[in-house]
Amino acid sequence: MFKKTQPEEKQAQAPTQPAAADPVMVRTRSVSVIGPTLVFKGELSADEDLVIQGTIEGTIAHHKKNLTVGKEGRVKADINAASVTIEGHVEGDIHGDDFVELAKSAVVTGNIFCGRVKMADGATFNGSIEMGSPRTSQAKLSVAEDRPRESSRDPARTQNLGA
Amino acid sequence: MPDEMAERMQRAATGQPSCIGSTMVMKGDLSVDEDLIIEGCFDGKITQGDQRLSIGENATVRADIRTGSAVIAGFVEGNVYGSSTVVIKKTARLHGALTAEKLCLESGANLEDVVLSGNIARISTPPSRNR
Repeated sequence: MFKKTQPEEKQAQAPTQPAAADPVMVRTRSVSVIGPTLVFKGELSADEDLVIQGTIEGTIAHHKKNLTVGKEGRVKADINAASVTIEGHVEGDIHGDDFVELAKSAVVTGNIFCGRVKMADGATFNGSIEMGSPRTSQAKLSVAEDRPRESSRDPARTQNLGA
Repeated sequence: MPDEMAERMQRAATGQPSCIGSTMVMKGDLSVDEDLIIEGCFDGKITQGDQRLSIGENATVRADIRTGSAVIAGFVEGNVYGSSTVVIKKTARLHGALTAEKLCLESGANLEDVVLSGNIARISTPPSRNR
């Protein structure tokens, strides 16, 4: 709340003396943030944690790291990440190597491929969930590899059980 | 980790600038109405309101850029238009046309292939020990 005063002060200084803008502008951050007014159409990939509060349309390849779609976030893209937390709107398939979490404000249309899933009461989800090996997102191959094992349960045996 | 994430979310919600980190690669069209920091790679088009844009030292931007004010310290290929002040740091490498209401050039900036237009407000020589 009170933090808002800081950027205002900086903005007030900037126009009067351009020199003052230099040190303020160049900053380093370890987390990428897509702000609420940002609209991007295209391909995005990264190797660091990412918070999306804006609008993204295209593809998101975000292997190995965490991705959060905030309450104001609107994503129309297939998402690949180590872990995915959704609080906003997502239209597309979500591949979370580790886990996928939908908060109660989440609205998701698409399929989820993940190792673990957590869905809050109130979340809106239309699609299917496929839980396979932790690397589901990398390739459906790994899921395919798992499948034969599941299906290797003898049909005969299941029939026996049924009988 | 959830606490950390919550903190980031809060930061994002409190009007902090958007930040395209050093490992990020974006290809496409971007429009934004808040401050933006680019430290990674961007390819495409950037349209910004009258806010501030910062292109970091290690950033690579191939794009036509329309912004309010800007500080450029990295590599930019494309046409840049700033409706306010554009500062070119000594580490900047520019290719294209640069138009701004006010231009601040730091000596050492590589402007070989640049067409400049605007009022040059300040040409500075950074102190030698300046990083």
